[in-house]
Amino acid sequence: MSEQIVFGATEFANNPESRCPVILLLDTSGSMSGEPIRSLNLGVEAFKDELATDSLAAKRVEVSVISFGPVKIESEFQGVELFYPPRLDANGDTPLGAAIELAVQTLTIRKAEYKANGISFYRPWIILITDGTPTDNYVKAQQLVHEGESKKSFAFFPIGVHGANMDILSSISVRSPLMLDGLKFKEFFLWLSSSLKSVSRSSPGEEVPLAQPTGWASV
Amino acid sequence: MGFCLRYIYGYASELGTSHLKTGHPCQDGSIVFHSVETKLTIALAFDGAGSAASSHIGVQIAKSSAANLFMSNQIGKLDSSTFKTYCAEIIESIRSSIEDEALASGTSIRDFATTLLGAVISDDFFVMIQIGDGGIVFDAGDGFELFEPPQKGEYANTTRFITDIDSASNASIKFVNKKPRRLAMFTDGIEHLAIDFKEMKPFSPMFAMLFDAIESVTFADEGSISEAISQFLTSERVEARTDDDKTLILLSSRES
Repeated sequence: MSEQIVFGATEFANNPESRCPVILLLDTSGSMSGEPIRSLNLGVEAFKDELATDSLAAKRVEVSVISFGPVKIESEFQGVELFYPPRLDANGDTPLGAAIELAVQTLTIRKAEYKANGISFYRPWIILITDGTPTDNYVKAQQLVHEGESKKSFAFFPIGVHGANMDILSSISVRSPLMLDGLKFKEFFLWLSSSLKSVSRSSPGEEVPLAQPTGWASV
Repeated sequence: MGFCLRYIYGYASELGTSHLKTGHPCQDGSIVFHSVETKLTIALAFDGAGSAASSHIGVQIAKSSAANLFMSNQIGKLDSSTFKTYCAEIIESIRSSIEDEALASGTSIRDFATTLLGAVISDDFFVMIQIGDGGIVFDAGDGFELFEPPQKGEYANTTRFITDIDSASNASIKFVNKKPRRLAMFTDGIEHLAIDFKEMKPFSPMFAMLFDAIESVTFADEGSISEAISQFLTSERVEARTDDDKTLILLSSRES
């Protein structure tokens, strides 16, 4: 009579989930006051709610929010469950250059923390939303974005809201900036959360095909 | 006649649950065999790139090419100064085989991307090779050791492949001048269960349990080891923690 081998109750290593870091870089200048900032706030809430419905994305995506101006870290990197969308007010100028520099620096620090703790991560995303023209010097920001994209350190997505200087955004970014259709922030954030869900479950060698930005980008 | 330390072994590659949804075939492959002629024991595991259209074919080509090349009677003569060059040549040959197929089918070698984990065990030494992620864990007398951290590249979803142009020079290759008592290999589908990433060490309790179980088996029941591994990989406990293809190889020494 032969004995069957059965591997009994095995213990497994308890490693932290891979992280999918996202920075939301959000314009809170005076021109965003009223309906725009209200819609943006609702959009960010929808973003969190949508991510929370996907158990894998909820464990992996980490969000940080930086607003400008003035440049302010509204919330440090936080997992979806503990991410509380900040209620943003609009009444400053548009120091876009400084905001981008801070975002890039924040990512550098975060990656070092991941590495120190043996946590693997996906390529971070920086999402910039602005409705204006930078009021500060953005040459350094431009260099950082180009360098970061060419080294694949992060992916930088600029979104213009009505009134945004798309030429300047084009010069700062490597990817073409998209113009938000009206104030369809909610639609944009639903698209973003869907894209992040795909990234956060991708495995090596997989190109992540992002859905077309229909429904929120103006043509 | 020399004393030949034989190995009992089992191996299995199983389709990941995510692939059941996408309809992809299993893109992992594995083989273990003992060559009577050369007295080598050879273990190989492969993980084809998720979206590479023909990576399962890349895996098959790499597997048969590698198995043949590692059966060469030159391998028994390798030493700590010659093994690296020889293994790099083998890697180049495997890559060429895949490239020939790509050319023949008019596609890019990238469509056949696959990782490689290999161990060749002789009477006096063993060699380990790694290109990509997953891992090799061995016990050569000092407890469970991890040969190399999974080669991830910067991000969780990037890795190296044998089909990369510089794979031969970037491969990790190690020569150990004694035989291992135990050796395990696994692809990235279960690497987060098998490795403590913070310490970058094998998760010993898991390996201790697996090896204890197979070492209580008699020769007559050796064939059931692969079946047990297959059951293990498709068990609820494992599939709750991964939806990727998974491979596990276990070898344990026996005097013969």
